[in-house]
Amino acid sequence: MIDKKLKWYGIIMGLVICLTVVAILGVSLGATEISFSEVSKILINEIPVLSELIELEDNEINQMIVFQLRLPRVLLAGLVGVALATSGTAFQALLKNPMADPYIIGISSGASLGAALGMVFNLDVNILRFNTIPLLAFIGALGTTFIVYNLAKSGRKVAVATLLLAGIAVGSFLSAVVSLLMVFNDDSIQRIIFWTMGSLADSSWQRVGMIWIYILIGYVIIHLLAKDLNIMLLGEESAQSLGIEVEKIKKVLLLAGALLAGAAVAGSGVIGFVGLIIPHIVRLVVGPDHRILIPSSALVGAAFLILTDLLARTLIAPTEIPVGIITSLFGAPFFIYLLHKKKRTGF
Amino acid sequence: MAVKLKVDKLSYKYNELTKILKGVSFAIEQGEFIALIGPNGSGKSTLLKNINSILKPDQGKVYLDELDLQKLAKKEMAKRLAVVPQNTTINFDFTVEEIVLMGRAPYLSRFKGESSQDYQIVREAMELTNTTQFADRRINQLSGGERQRVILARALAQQPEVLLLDEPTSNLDINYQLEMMELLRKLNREQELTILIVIHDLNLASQYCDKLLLLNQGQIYGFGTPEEIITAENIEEVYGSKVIIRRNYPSNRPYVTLVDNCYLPNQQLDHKVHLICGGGSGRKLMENLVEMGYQVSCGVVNKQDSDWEVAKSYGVEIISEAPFRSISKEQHQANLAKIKGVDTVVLADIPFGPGNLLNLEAALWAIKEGKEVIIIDQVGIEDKDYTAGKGSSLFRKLLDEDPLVVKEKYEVLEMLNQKIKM
Repeated sequence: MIDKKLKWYGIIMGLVICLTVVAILGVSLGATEISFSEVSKILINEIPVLSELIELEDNEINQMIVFQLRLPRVLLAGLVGVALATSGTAFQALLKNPMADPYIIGISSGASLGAALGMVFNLDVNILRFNTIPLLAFIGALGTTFIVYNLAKSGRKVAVATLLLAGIAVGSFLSAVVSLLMVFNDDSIQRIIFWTMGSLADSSWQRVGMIWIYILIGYVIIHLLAKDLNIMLLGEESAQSLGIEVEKIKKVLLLAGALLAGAAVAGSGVIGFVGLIIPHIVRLVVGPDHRILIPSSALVGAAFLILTDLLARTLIAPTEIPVGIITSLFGAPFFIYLLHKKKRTGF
Repeated sequence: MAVKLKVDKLSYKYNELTKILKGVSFAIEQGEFIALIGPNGSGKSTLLKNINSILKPDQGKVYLDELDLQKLAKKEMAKRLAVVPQNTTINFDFTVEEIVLMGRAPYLSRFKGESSQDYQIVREAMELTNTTQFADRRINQLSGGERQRVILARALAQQPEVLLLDEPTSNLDINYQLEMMELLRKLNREQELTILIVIHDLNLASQYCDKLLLLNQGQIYGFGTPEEIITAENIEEVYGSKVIIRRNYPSNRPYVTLVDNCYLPNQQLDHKVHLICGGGSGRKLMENLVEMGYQVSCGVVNKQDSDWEVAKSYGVEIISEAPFRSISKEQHQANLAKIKGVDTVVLADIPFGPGNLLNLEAALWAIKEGKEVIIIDQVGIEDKDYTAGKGSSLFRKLLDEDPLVVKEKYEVLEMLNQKIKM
């Protein structure tokens, strides 16, 4: 028991270090390469006490690239990665099904429609710290969750196969509506592609400021429900007899999951498969206990998306590939592998 | 003893057409081990789910001590009432210890992990269920019986006062079934746990439980000791199947034996056979005769005698006397009256004492009336006469009348069958 806690702290520390290294790498690589140590120095220089200890070369261009271009992009990628991986973990536990993720069950498309409507009708407003675009994306995500869930539900049971099919159908439909919306609004095809395939090219401090608070709230909620999620994996009736208010927890989880998916889409468009593969791979390593699975997935998700975004903008630079294409390139084969494995073993 | 769990006029329906439970009321006392039995679709599992509030009853209440379970918070209920569900498959890679530890969930706050006390309780639960050796194994690597015990350990970790189990033995082989029932009985006795178990196997229920609650079409058909509930009449009425009730040695609890339908007569033969028997001497032959379609009657037999029980379970007409009483004049006359109307009388290989000498008189009377009489005599009258000669002389008189005498039961059947064919 003590060993387990120690092991968990070890895992989290290790992942935090990995994430930091990947983030600095993300900031340093690009059209203009800035060395790893210089990036480190520029960043440390911003920390009050530590800044006394280092000497910074006076390179204002590099500093500007770091602060105005690379850093917000890496932060946005990290935030979106956290959001997608966490909501994926939550949906997989909730539906007791490793195929679930906000992209595959159509929730991301719903969020995308919500956000697109907001942009088209210029509803981009800040109320206190809360921007309306992620809020609309959240509403779209929630609405889609509701529709898909009810389509798949027959009697008291939710059939997994039906849920996936309903998700894919609703998702495609909503994506088509988004594309149509953009065509009618004289937007370039370029922008539609970047939105529906997901891209971090439009990142800015403003985007980061727009979504971080939603992601924080969503993450904290799901993190606090980790113990309940463990027990809900045993089945709803077992969970109830162990004192879990299953229906209440389910609703809260759906809300938090949709909030995260909505925020992710508002930040970067629809990026697929991150929510599917990250929880999976992490579960293989750390086990099914959500108290470690959720924070680990979040950290790995952030690192993964920072890395794939790095690939997206450097592989065939100066042309940028939408990051969603890269994640799908990894994700789709993995999904097929899962389907195949499930067919053989019944997971 | 105090009432622990009380179900009061509970009704539940899935929709307007299918009423599953219709006003079920019963009370279980502290420390009782109760089996909930009944045919498929009688509402057993639904009743269980209504008790632990997984389903909301349309009417009625469930009380644990004085607490209304429907109003009790789920966490509070989980501290008092634990459930072992029917399906215990878990598809995720938790270790056995992690699963059992989940039983502590109702005692933990959201922001706190398990204390060393929780681990202690989990260890004890695993020792009780003999699962300690699996602690670090993955739950889905265990066999069905082992997994069932782990789930039981999880329920015990809840430290409940009442334990509900939904068919915990249905997927287990016979060895694990016994092991599970023994374990439950041990928990019931040593931990004073009140247990309500849904179970299909009537014999396991009869063997291990204090009382049986027989449910039929959403209503309580009977609630009482195994002797009161496991009767051929009850089983035939509720399950619609013919059974024979025997006594299980050495517990003396009722034991149900199924009668294979293909041995039940598909046609009544037009031949009446009266069997003079007692003390188990006639039951095998009686079973065979009934199965072959003869119209069988028997007498005079003492009530509760094993011949009497078989006759009861087959619906054979019995001329009976009170237990351990000598045959009275009235019953003897009734016996003779019955004999008058039959085609064949069979005298089974009975020992004779002062109490049943009249049965020998009845056989003699039959043969003088011109009835066909078959006597089964394997040991010779000297070895079965406990009447200081009276029985022997009567028996010799009987033999003088030239009856059919055989040594084995099957010879009786052969003779009768030949008669029928002619």
